[in-house]
Amino acid sequence: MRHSTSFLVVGIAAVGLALALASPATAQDPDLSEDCATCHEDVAADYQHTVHGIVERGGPTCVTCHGMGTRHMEEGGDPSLIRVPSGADGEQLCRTCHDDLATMFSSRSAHSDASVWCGACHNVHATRPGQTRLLAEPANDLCASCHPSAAGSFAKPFGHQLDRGGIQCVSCHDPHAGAGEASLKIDRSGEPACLTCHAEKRGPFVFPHVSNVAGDCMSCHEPHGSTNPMALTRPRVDQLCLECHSLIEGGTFGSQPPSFHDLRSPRYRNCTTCHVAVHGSNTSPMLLK
Amino acid sequence: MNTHRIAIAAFACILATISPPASAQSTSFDIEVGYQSVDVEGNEDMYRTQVNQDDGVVLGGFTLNFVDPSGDAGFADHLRVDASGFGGSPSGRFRLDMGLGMTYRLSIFYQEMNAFSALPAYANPLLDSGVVPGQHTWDRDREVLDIRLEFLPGRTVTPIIGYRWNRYEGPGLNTYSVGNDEFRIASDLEETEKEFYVGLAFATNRIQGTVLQGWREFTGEYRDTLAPGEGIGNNPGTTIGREITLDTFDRSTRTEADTPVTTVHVTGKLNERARLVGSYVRADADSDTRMSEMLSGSLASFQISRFFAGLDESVESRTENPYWRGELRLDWDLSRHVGLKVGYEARERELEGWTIISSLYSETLNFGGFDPRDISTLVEAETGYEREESIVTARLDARDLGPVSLWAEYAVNDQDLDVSADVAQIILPGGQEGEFNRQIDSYNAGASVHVGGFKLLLDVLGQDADNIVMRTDFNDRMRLRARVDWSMSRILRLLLTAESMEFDNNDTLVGYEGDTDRYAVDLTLTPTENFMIRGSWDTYTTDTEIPIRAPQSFETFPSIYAEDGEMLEGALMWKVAFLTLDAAYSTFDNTGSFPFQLDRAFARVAFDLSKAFSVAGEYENWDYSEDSFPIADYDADRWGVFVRWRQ
Repeated sequence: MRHSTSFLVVGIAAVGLALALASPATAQDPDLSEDCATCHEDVAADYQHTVHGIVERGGPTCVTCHGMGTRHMEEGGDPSLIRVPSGADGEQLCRTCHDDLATMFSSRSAHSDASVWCGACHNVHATRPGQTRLLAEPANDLCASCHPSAAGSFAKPFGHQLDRGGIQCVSCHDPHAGAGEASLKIDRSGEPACLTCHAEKRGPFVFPHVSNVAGDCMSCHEPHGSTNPMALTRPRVDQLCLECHSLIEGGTFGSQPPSFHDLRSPRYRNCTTCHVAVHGSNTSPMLLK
Repeated sequence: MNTHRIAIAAFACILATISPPASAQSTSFDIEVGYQSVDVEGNEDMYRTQVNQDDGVVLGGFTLNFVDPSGDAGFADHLRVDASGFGGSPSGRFRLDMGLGMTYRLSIFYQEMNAFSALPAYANPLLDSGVVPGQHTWDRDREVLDIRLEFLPGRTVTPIIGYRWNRYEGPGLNTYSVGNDEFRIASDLEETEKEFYVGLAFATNRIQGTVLQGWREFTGEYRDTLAPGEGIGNNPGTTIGREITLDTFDRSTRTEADTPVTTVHVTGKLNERARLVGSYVRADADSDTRMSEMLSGSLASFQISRFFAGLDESVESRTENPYWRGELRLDWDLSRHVGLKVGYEARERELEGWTIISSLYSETLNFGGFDPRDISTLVEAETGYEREESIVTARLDARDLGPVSLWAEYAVNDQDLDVSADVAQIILPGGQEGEFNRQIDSYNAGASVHVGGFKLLLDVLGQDADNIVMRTDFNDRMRLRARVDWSMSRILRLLLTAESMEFDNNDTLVGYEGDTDRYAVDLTLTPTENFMIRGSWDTYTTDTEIPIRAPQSFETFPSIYAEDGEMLEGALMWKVAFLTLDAAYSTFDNTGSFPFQLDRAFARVAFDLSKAFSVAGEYENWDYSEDSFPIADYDADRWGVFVRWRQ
């Protein structure tokens, strides 16, 4: 028994080591970069500054994406005689190496649906200051170039800031994911991107409120930017609260405040004056602390 | 954790990597650093709540890029550092990515943010008395650190180690309500979430994926004390003939939560055209909270219907919160340009909560002033909910059919919610517990056309739900989106976007309805590489209406909310020899339920001293004004001088 256990452990370790050291079969394309650089000097120089440029360690060569280009060179650089990746075919080419993008939770990439391919945002030939991941422009500028209305939301006075050092569109959205709500990132535990920073709102709370029960952060907040204080969806607290907490008819979730909550008094118009723990509480059934 | 340690670590990595130099290596860097000065006229609290730029040295941007393509690199063949914002900016961000071929890959991300809020009118019952800002304010810092190290990347098996750390801390002001008074409380909190995870990624010809096991730990410590000079409360009158005062108040709360997190992603290729993608996440959280609260003064409680002189309260609570979600999806390329996606996703979350609240009221009297005695109360509460959700999706897309792409999707989302509230939570029966079910059917279709420099995109989303859970849920929702993008060479780009959405639950007794419209026009002219001018117009309107009921009279009246915002923006870039001018102006005017105007002006002149050095001067102005609460208005100027060095 002891021997068989030892054999099993050694066997698993040996297989694990063999698998770890084995690399997936990838054929290195011929490196004609010196020939290409004869005409494309600037591109070749920029390329050396990119991770792609590490050809000696398996990075793509010019041939990998553009093909051999022999006729292109022989015919004096005729652009019609060289492969210039774009569209769905271009995306397939990128995925030859970046196939892991397909494993994410999304149903599919919204951007590829709209005929925007990898090269619309990424410049595979060059890297620029402040533009990580070989982005062609700063990340927020790229998003704003097609989504001006979303960018305009951040001009509202209350909400997240996109200024230097602040959050980026890609802090919450995954540009490789699906459309609409599917573009929102989830953290490793499968929860909304909001909790990546606002971790203290995650709970769990003995007395929860909205989040994870029947709604989420956006039940009350506008994350891009709001015209209302606290990035809320309504300017007045009682208005926001009573839109759910009015039991005019049965069957919906949300209780009615008692009658001594006289809205003619300022203290009752400001529900959070007393109900301070609106995100959930472990110590007060009424979310008072 | 402090920034210095990270900076030192990063610097050490850089030194280790770039020395000794080899001919094949390429290293470039770009740093801009400067000093800025901020001058605010008007409400500085509102300025800090919205903008929060400060005097001081500020890092405009820093990038270091190192690549060694020789294949002989010893420690790293690539290293990239990007940082910006540290110093006078309210946020700072740092990222380091480095690695050595198929040996290792390391990424470090750090971000710090200052969160400030001191609003004059929001949730402020004392506004009419001229007391500003409101009683809830904070000035807190958040730091996030994320480290991930992969060994043998690109090989069949890649071990992964990661660590994530998030801290939120700082002071604030809060309120404690007793009798008919609110007392201002100084609160201080420190909340830390840490997560360590290990696992591996694997990739073979047929199957690839990631398996990670993490351990998350949350600690929250809160201390609340009576703010100096706030012992008389905010009610100048008496409560049942007695003046209410608070002499001492001290509350300490500590919460701990542990969550093991399992994450699995697997993709298997069935054949060259079909792949199966599976994901599974499980996170079972357990938390414990202990709170002690002691206060003294001349006080009244409607809960026990007595005056009292002191309260000694302790709370113990516990939760168990198991959660999992899983997805299985088939991606099938029917042809080179036509794809079918079919997916099923399930999520389930449960909560079991328990708390015991022990309170000892000392030196109590009934509201008639008789029957002196100490009174103790014990409240034990148990809460719970179970939420199940399943989503079935089918999507067909056809890409690059000549100039046209088409897509269509159908999804069904089933939600089941079962909530059990404790009697301690219920003042008026109804709305806090029960079983709620909802099914949402979603239809999405769209098309894009791309001809030369012209792109047109149309997208329609329709959603029908058979039921509502919250009153503001929709039964019907329809969203239309359109975008026209026309580029003429590199000289002109015109972008038109339109979005319209209608939603309601009119077929229920609630009668909630609303609509939102958004239109934007953006025109950019770049006649030469050194000159660009841009103008944009963006309008946003939303109207919602829902009946609500006043608690004091049970009278029903409509809650109407409107936004009518319009933004005009212009920008200019002009480069002449060694001078570069960037300027922008925008004005945002909202005439809805919360009318205000926010204007911004920005100008920057950069002067190239040489190819490597430049200096720049910056000016920015923010001018904010509210129609209803002019006490919130501010007019802020920011001046800055920056030096840039790039190599």
